[in-house]
Amino acid sequence: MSRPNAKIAELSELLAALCDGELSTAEWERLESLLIGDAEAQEFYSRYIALDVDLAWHSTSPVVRRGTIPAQGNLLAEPTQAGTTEFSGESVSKPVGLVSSESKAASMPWMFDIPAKPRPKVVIEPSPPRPIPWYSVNSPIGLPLISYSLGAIIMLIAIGIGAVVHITHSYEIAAGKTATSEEVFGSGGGSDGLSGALATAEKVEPKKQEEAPFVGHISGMADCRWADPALKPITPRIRQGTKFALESGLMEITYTTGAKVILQGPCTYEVESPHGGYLALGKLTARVKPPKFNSSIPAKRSRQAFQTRKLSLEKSLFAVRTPTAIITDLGTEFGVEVVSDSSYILVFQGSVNVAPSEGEPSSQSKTIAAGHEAYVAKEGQKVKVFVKPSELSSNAGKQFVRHLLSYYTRTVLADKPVFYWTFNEESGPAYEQVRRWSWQALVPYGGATRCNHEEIGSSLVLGRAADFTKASGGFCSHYLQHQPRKLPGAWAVEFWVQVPTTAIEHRSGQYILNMRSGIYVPPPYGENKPGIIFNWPENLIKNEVQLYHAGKATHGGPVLEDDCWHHIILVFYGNGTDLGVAPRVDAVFDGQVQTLDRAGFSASFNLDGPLWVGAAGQDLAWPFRGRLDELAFYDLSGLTVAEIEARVVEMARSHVAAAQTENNFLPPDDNSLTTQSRKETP
Amino acid sequence: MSEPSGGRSGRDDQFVELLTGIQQQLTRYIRTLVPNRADAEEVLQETNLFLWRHAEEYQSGTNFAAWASKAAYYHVLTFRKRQARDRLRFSDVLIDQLSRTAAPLCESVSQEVEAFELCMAKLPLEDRELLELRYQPDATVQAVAAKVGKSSKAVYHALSRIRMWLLECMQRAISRRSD
Repeated sequence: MSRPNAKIAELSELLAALCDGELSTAEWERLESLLIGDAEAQEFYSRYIALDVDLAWHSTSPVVRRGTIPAQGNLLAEPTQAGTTEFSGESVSKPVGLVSSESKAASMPWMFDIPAKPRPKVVIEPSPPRPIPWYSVNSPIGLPLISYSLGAIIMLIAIGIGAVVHITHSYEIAAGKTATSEEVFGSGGGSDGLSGALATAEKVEPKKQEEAPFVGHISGMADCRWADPALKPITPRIRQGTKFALESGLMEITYTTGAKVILQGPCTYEVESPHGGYLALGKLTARVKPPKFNSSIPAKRSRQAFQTRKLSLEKSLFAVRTPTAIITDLGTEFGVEVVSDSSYILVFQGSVNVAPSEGEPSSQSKTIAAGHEAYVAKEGQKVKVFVKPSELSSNAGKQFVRHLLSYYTRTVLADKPVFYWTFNEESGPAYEQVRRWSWQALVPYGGATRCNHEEIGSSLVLGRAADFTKASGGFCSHYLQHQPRKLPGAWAVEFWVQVPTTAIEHRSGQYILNMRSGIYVPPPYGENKPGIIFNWPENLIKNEVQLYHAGKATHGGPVLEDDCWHHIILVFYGNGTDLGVAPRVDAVFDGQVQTLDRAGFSASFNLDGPLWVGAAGQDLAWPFRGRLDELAFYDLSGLTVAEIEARVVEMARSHVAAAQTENNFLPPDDNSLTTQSRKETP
Repeated sequence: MSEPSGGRSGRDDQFVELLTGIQQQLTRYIRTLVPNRADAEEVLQETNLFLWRHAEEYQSGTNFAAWASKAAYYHVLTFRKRQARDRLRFSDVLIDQLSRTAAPLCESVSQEVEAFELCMAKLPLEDRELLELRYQPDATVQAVAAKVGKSSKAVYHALSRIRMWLLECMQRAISRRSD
C-alpha cells in the first residue's frame, strides 16, 4: 500500500470514525473544513462513503454469505438460542401482572356502534377451510386491481420492489404456501410463472405434524395458564401447525423470519407458517421489521437479480388470518382481537392491508395506516371492513400488550421500587418502568448510548444497558416529580455497573449518578441529593464507589477494579438523629453486605428534581466512563433495621439470580421449558 | 381503475426493475450528502416512495439514474430542513459542492462495483471476515472486538486499514480498465 499524503491520511482517520459512528463534534467540524472547496478531498470522501455503502450491501447479501465468502465458522450467523432472544422494547401499555380489569373486559369496538358480544370460552377448534383466494392471479380482476392499490403503501416501507405482485397472496403467506423461486418465476417468469407456481402450491399436501419444519420459538412467557393442559408447550421450538390455547397470561413467539407475536390469554392461535398464523379467538400484537433489500450484484439489471429481490420481499411479508379477515403486514406493528365472528385491528406503526377472508373483497380490502383501527364483521351475508382514526394512547391502544417484560424486570417490580429504568430501549429515552411518565424518562445527551449484554458478552440476561464508554455523555430525566418530594427515611439505590479496564482508562472523578434539587442552584453542580461518585481524586482508595452529599462521602464502599459486571445496592438507614432508623450506610456488593464508614454522609433522597445518570449535570462534567443498567430507587422508610437488612439481602439474592437466569422470561428454576428441550435441534 | 389488466402491472414491473437496479447508486449518493446511515435510509425510503408515486412522469428511455438522483437531492434538502438543529451536519455550501462531486461517481457505479468485487476477492480471509462482522446490521466495533477477542482500538485500526487498501485496489483496477 502506497503512503497517502497527510491530508488524505487525516481524512481517512476522520472518515473511519464517521463510518464507525465515532466522529465527535470537533472532528465533524474538522472534516467539513477539510472538504469545503477542495475537490480532491471531496472525491476521496465520496469514494470512501461509496465503499462503506458497498461493504454494507456486500456483507448483508445472503448470496454472498452462501457463495463468495468462504465458511465463516462460528463468527457469523450464530443460531438463535431459544429463550435468550433479546426483546427490544417499545413503549409498554402496562407491566405483566398489572393488567387492569378494564383491559380484561370484553373490549370490542364500541366506537362502531356494534354491540360487543360476550367472549366465548377458549376452545381448540380446527382452522376453517381456506377459501380459494379471490385475489389469485387466476382471477381476471385480482392481480391488477390489488397490485395498483397496494403498491404505494408497500413502497413506503419496503422500497416497493416487486410487492405489487406478492402482496396479493397474503393468504398463501399466512398459510405457508409460499412457492420457491423456481416455482414462482419458472422459465416463463412474470405473472404466468406465478400462476403456475400457485397452482403447484395448491396441489402440495400438508405435511404431517411430526415432519413439519420449525418456524419459530417461544421467546417469552408470563403467568401462562393453558386452556388445555395437554397442549402446554414442552419445548420452546415451534413447528409449523402448532396450536396454542392460552387461558390467561402472555406468550411471545419469535418467528424464524424475525417477526414477533405476543399472544394475550384467553386466546387460540395456530402457527401456520414462518410467515403468519391463524387467530381463532382472543388477542395478539404482531411486530415485523421492515425488510432490507440486498444483493451482491445490485447494479446489474439481470432478471435473476430482480427475481431474487422479489422473493426476498415475499419472504418478509407476514399475515395474520382471523375468521373474518386477513391482515398483511410489512414492517410494522399492529394488534388484532377476535371475538366471535368479528375482528378488530389497531395499527401502532407503519401500515397493514386488511382484507375480508371471504365475501367480496375487491371493494372491501383496505390499507390501514398507523393510528387507525379497522373493524371487520359480517353484515348480513357480506363481510365488511370499517376504518376510523384511533387514539393509540386511549383504551383502544392500552388493551394490547406490546412489550413482554423480562423476568428480571418483573422481579424488580415485585419489590416495588419508587423509580426503575431498564435501559432496554434500542435508543432514545430510557422509560421509567413504574409510572412511565415521559418527564421521568432518562433522555440521552452527548455520547450516552446503549450496549447489548449479549453482544458485549456480559453473561447477564438484562437486554440493553446504558453505555458511556464511547464518549462523555449522560442520561437526564426532566423532573422526577414525585410525591412526597423526598424519601422520608431509609432508602436504597440499586444498579448494575461495569467499568472496562482494557478499553477505557479510569479517569479520576466520575459521577455514576447525581440526584439534583428541584430548585435551580447555580454551578458548580448545585446540590447532590445524593450523588454516587466513583474514583474520586481526594479519595485514598482508587476506583471506589461512594455516596456523596454536601462535601461528605462514604468510605469503604465497593471497589471496581475488573472488567466484570457488578450488582450494587447502596442502603442508607439514616443519620441517627432526624433521619431514618440508624446512623448506618451499607453496600450490598454482589450479594455480600458490607457496612460503610458513613463519614458524616446524610441525605434524604430528593425526588422532585432532574436526575443525571453518567454525569454530574447538564455540562456533562465529571463523566462516568463505564456501563450502567437496571437502576432502581427504593423507599425503605417505615422498616426496622432488621427488616431493612433482610429485605436488601433478599433483593440482592433474587435480582442477581434473575439476571443470570437461562431464559430471559422465566425464573431460573422454572421447568416449563426444560433445558434439554431448549437444546433440541431441528 | 380504468387501465386494462396487465397494462399497469407490466409497466410497474418495468419501473420496479429500474428502481431496483439503481438502489445501490441511490444509497451511495444519499449517504454522501447524509452521512449518518439511519438518516440516509430514511431519505432513501422517502425518495423511493416519491419515485413510485411519480412513476408515470418518467419518460421511458431517458436517464433514470439522473432523474432519481434529482429526486434524492430534493429529499435530502427536505430532510436537512427537518434536521436543522442537528449539530452534526454539513453546511449548505458543502452539500451543494458534494452533490456535484457525487453525481459523476453515481454514473460509473457498475465499473466500481466490478472493481469492488475484484478487490474483495483479493482480501485475506481474516480481513473479509472482519468486514462481514462489522457490516452486519446493527453491529458495532465494540461488538466485533468482543467477538474476535481483540480490543476495539485494534479492530478500529484494522477496519480503517482494510478500507484504505480496498480504495487503492479499486482505484488501480479502474485505472487499468480505462487505460
